[in-house]
Amino acid sequence: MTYRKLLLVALLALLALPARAEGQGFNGRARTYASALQIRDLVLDSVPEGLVGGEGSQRALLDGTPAVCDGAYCRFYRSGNDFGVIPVLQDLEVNVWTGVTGLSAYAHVRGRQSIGDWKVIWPGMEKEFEALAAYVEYRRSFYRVQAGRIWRTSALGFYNYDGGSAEFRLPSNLDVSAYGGLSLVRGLSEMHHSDLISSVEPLAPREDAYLGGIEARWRPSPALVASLTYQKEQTIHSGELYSERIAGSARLLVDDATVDLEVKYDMATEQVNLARLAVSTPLKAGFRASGEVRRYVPFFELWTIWGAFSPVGYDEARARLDWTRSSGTLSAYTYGSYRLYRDTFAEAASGPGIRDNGWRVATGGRYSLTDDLSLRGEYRYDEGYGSSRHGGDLSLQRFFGRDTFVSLTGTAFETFSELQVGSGRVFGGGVQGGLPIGPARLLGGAMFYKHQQIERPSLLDLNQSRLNLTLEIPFGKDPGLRGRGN
Amino acid sequence: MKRALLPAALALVLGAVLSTPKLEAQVSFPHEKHAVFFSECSACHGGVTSGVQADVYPQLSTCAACHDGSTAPKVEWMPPKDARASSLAFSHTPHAFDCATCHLPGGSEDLASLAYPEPETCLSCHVPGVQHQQVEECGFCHAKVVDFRLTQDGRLPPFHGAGFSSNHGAAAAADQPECASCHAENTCTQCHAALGEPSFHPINFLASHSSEAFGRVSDCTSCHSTEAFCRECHVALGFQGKGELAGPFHSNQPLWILGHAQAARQDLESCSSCHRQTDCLRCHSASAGMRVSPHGPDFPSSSIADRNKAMCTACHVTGLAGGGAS
Repeated sequence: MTYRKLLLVALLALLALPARAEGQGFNGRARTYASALQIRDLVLDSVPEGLVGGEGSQRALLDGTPAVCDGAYCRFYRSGNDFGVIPVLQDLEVNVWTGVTGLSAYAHVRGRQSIGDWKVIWPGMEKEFEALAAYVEYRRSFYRVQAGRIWRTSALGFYNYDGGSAEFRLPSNLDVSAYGGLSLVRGLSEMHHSDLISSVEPLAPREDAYLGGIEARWRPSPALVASLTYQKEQTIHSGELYSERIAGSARLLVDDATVDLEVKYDMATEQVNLARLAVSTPLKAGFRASGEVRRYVPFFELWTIWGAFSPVGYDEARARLDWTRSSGTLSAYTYGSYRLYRDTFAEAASGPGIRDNGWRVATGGRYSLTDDLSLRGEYRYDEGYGSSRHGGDLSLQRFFGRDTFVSLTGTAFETFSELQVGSGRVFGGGVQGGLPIGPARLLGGAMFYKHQQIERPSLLDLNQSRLNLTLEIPFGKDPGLRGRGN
Repeated sequence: MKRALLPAALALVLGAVLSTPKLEAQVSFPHEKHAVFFSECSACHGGVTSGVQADVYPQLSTCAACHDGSTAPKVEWMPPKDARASSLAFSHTPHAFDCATCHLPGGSEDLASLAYPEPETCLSCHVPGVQHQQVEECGFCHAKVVDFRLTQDGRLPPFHGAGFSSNHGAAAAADQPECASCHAENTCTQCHAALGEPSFHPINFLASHSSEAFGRVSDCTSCHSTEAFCRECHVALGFQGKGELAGPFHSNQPLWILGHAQAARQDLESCSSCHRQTDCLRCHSASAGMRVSPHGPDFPSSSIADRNKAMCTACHVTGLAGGGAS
């Protein structure tokens, strides 16, 4: 029996667990998400070199489009055909309380289908079935064990894997947990030896890996909580490591102020991938101030060679000020940041001139005209290495009850200093809404974006229209906490 | 910097422990000094048992009966306008037992130890896994997340703060039990389970995501696989790297090759969202091509080799190895 079949059988077994009528029994929700997107790709085209003026390999067509010439032809990029993509996702989540005290099961599965022949365009659509989570849990006051496909949130981020975990609550508010199993690629719910990676990466991992780690969380006082995590991924057969990392995080409360500290360290490259200190405190008259400094260096697993290129990342400072009128009808915020890339030891004396810094500012607010009618807006300016943008959004939202609303949105922004396809302006507008249908909830929206190229005539407009529709149907007993997150 | 981080972190934690807000910081009123005058808690906090919110705290006039400037110094004090921000739908009224049971932990009689109860106090009766299965309505104790989005004065809960959706890593990692008191199991996966609906990003994110990706406003890789998400889409749309040393991309810089090393070290994640590793190995291999070393100063070769020799052999042995083995 293959691994996938085993997982499917285990999943069906979970769902088939007897749900006693007493207590909550089971609950869940089905969510259908469909969208229609309009996309235009880029294609490589060419003209005989004699039709292009100038000399050398780097030239421009008559309309200014950059072209590369090889002695016979000049190649250039132009817009391809306009086409549509209609990805459809179907999620199913089920919680089952077995009737045995402390024993429960949870599963979250997803099906994908793309209407039409454009599966290759929208990422991930070739994966028609996915189990995001499927585990059995036994929880008592002082310990918890899980087995199956599990999500794990730690100071290292968000991982899922197929295996088990055991968590113990010790005296002195100390929680200790150990976990391990078959590692899954982050954001993919697939093992490393996956066709999804090998189809786009010739040097794809050739082995799957085990993931294992230990974590301690400590709350020495109501005002302080901290965690420390060690985790590594090791290949199943050759015993090579894909990663070995350690991370810590802490949150300190001082009255209404919070202090956050995060550190992630890659033991292989001996680099601090993230060191972050953030402080947020309320001030007088409805103001709240937040500040943050952080050092960031990208992390790469050792199945890639990227870490050998000595990435350096940047140091950044961020600040933010929020204000809310005492009545709550008006709120505003402004924030800004400045980042400086560290010395790469690879700067060229001549060449394109790569900038080594970036900054960002934004301001926005929300005004409640009435209890049911509110206006939101934001303007932001983001300039830095690789890509820059400035623009804003404005939306007017009207509620007609708890889940019934209509929202009108307008947007305008300009991208510039972009490495890829140059500058452009986008103007967009549309409508979004929500409607309860019995216990179900329907959300939908339609947006249209008008795109104008500024520098590249051969690139036709990249206009986009977007339609999306979400239908969420809860079932089973409602425990009153449908967790939409915030 | 690296050496300074650990002591700094330890100092912060140690400082926090030593300077942990004492209980009187939470219950700032010096109850122990007034115990001789008020033997019953209800003398000042009658609203706790009666359920009348206005009587939960005494009025200034009550204090002024003694603190009139002659009998005792005048004081400036106002009762809190709203109930303490909390995710718990707690009411004192049905909890009709002695105040000290919850507010004097450990059986202490020292009023200086007066405190708000910790979660364990609640859990000593409301045992998870037992009571939880017998209560059909979570909202009996826990405020619904959608209701708790704003506190009564219109502000976010203090422990969330501004920009929390993008910067909640430390809190989520260190404080998961607290998260679970409001958030359901699937809250994390609603955003982190990539390839789902775009619940985290704004609807126009596809057209505008490049500046956020270059600036790493948030950690893309916490949800997305660089290869199977970013690159797959870029390749499908014709944005993929083709290993050209000069070309229309990269702002049509004719001498891009001279600057690409700095660009790559600054933002290698963006490079890898289009380029395959083999694109770089055409020049940066010790076994073939131009044999340009990609390593920076202080490259920890032995540390990496100790953990994964196969990575090294991708460049340092004839032929190209896969990530795990060749």
